[in-house]
Amino acid sequence: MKVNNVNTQYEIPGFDIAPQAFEPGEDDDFEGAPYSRDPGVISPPPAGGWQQLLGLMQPSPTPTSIEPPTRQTTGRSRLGDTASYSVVGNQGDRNDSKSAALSPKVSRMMTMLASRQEVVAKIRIRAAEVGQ
Amino acid sequence: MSSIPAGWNDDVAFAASERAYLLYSEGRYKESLALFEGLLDIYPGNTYYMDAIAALYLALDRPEAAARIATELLRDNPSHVPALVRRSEAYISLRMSQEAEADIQQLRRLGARDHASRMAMRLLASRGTGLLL
Repeated sequence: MKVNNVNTQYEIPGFDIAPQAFEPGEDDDFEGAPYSRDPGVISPPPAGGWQQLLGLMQPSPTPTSIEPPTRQTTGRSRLGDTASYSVVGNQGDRNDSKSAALSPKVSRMMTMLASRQEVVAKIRIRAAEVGQ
Repeated sequence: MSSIPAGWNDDVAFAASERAYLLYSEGRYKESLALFEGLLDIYPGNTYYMDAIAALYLALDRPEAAARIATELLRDNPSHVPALVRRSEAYISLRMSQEAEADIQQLRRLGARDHASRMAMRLLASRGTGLLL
C-alpha cells in the first residue's frame, strides 16, 4: 500500500497550537473576524530564550572570534586607569606638541578615525543636499 | 602612561572600540588591528584589546605574533580561556604540538571542556595533515 500523506505535529515554545475554546454563545461574536481562531500566545518565551535557541550565548566558535566591546571591557588599562586622567595630567605641559608626542600606533589610529569622520560628514552633507 | 590625543575620553574610546569591532566583523582585519593596536597603546594591558589583537593576528596568519601577545595576556591572567584557545591555535599552526597540548590541558583544568575538546580535535587533525604531507 502506498501512503501519500504524512502528518507532522510541531511544538513551538510559547505557542498553543490547539484551537482556543469559546464560552457558549461567544463564538457568534467573533464570527467572520480574521484570525479569530488562530493559535494565541499563552506566555512569553523565557528570558534569553531566543538567544539561546539561536546559539547566541554559545562560547566563541573559533579561535579568531572576537566578542563585541562593552563599556566595562574598553577604555581601561591593566591597572584600571582611564585615559581621561592622563589627559588632565598631561594637558598643562603638552598643549603645543600634543600630536607630535603621540606614538605611531596612536597616530595611525587617529588618522583612520578622522578619515572615517570625514566620510560620515560628507555623507550627511550630501544627504541634506538631496533632501532639500 | 602613554600620551593621548586631545579630546580623548571614555566615550571616544568606546566608539573607537566599536569601530574596530565592526571592521573585524566585515573582514577588514588589518584596519581593525590598527585601531586595536592604537587603543592598546593608550590603555596598556587592557585584556579585551590584547585578546582581540591575538585573534586578529591569527586571522591574518601571523601565529608567532598571536602566541606572543596571548602569552603576555596570560602572564597577568593565567585563567583567561580565550587567550589559551588562541595560543593553542597559534601553537598548532606553528607545529608546536607539546605547547598546544599543555594549553589544552590547562583549558580542561579550568573546566572549559568544549574549548579543550575542539582544540584537541584541531591538534589531532593537524597531526593527520602532517602525516599526509
